Amino acid sequence: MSSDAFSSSTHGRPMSRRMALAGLGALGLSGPAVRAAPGGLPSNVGHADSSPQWEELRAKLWGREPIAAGEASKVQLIVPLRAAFGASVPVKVLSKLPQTEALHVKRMTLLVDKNPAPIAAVLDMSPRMGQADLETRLRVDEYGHVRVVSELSDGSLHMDSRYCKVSGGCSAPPNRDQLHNIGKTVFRLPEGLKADGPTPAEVSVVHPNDTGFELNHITVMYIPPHYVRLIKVSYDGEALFNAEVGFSLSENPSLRFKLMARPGGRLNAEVEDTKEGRFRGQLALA
Amino acid sequence: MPALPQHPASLRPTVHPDRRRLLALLGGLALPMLAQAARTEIEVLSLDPLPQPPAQALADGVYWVPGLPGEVDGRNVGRNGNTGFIVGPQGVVAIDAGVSRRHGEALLANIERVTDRPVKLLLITHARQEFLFGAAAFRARGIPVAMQRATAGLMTSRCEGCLDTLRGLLGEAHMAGTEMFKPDQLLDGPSALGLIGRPLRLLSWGHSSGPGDLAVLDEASGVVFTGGLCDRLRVPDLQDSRLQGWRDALAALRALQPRQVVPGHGPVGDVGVIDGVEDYLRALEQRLGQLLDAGVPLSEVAERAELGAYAGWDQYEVIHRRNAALLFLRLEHAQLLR
Repeated sequence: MSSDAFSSSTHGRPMSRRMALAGLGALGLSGPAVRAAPGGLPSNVGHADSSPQWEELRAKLWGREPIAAGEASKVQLIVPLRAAFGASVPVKVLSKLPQTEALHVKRMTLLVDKNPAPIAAVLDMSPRMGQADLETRLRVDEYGHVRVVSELSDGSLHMDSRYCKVSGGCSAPPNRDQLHNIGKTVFRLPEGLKADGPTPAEVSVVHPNDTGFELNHITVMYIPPHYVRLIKVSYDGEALFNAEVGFSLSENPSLRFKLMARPGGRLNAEVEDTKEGRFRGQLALA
Repeated sequence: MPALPQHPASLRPTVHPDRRRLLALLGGLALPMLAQAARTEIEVLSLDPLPQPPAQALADGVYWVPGLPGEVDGRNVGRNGNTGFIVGPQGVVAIDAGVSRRHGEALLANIERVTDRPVKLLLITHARQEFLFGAAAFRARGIPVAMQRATAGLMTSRCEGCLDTLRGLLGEAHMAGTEMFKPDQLLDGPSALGLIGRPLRLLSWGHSSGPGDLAVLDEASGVVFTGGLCDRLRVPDLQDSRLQGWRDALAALRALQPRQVVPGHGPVGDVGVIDGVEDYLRALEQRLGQLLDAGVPLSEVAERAELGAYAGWDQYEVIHRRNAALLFLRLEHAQLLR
């Protein structure tokens, strides 16, 4: 962790988060495997929580620590059972407790079991969010589980998972217009400012988020990996969340979150990508 | 099938089990047996038991073979795209080839039932699996395959993956002999084709429904094969499209006043086929513009983009939902850039 808005909990864990983000691409799943999702089948899919990929990830990231699931879990994941478009699957996380100093979601990890780099995002979250809800869009390469694991400030771990199918068809050629706008970072308040509770806000970064697995359809050469790896959002100078993210986030990465806001407050974002691009965005709340 | 190599009767699939065991043993020892085994595969392909409607005449010398509705599955074995051919005094041009070598073989068999003139060229209209991979059957006979340069690029960049998926979905038997290929001729824009002694116009308006859309107009009959530009009673697919280019191409196509329109998917019709595509695109854009303005999150877009008028069209549940998500993301992207 570079910035220390939050206490790090990686000590004593089997593997640090940055190592995990950097290294898990090599979990035997690398190679040009990101491609069109199959249509239709198979239909005999289960919704059980486990998968070989998950067992491996769990052991590396959380060792043998217990992880609450089902009714006992404090986190809920909403993913379409059948995603309309595999390159951008909307994923929503709802936390079943408010963010308070006493007890809050400290770290949230989003995983896509079968993606070449299964850890999509790791967010360190502040109580100032009011509610640790999150919505983003993920690339889902194959039929498989999408998961969230939340670590609360009391150290407990909570998980929810959904099995996701992706509708059939060929993959779309990447959108290569407007390259000069890479990094433009925009905030939005989709429901306006809320006086009586957490306000939903969205930060979006114009970025191709290239995985390195796709061929340019004009040059027929691999497009080198180039993706956003860090999104830090603060409010009035204090950190709301730091998100370390990977290329499992879709093109034009976007995070919809919540914060306790008031008129005159100011949202700031700092963004870094894998080519050392640094970008900023801000919004003065009216 | 005179073009197929002959083979010894002992290698027919109906060979006696004892004999087969013996042959298998020999095959492991003697290289010539391998060549014979390959011929057996061709024999199997020519005995295709799968559904393939006969070619239907649209005008003198102009035929189409209807594709089957639905997603690629075991029943339609991926034969979802329309194919066709035009017979001239000096030979035949085929238009699109189907999903597999078997499918291509079936098209060639259809052509042979109609004429004994040589097949001179296969034209591929756009880079979708159900139009492409039957090219293997044509290539096996030395028939050249042509497509727009941009279509070849898109095919090379993604279709190996489609082929892997098809093998998984349909099984090796259905996909036998089907492989990725390079076109023999690359087209750049529109041209005239006099190859079969019957004037054909190869129409291209740049990136429209896909990066290298090709349509084929038979001047004599006024029949046009639209490839990806039009689908009928099936939801058009936005995935590879540039919408403005697509609308421009549809307008240009209508201006040619074709008498019959053969869409990529769905039944043949008149210029109303073109109207149907335009109307759908307009309705989709209007709805998604509204959803974006209303601040709807992507997670709700597929459900809220219902367009009841099109609910009965083939692939509404898959392609329409994907179109909605795609167009929403594009409109949102444009909004971010403002």
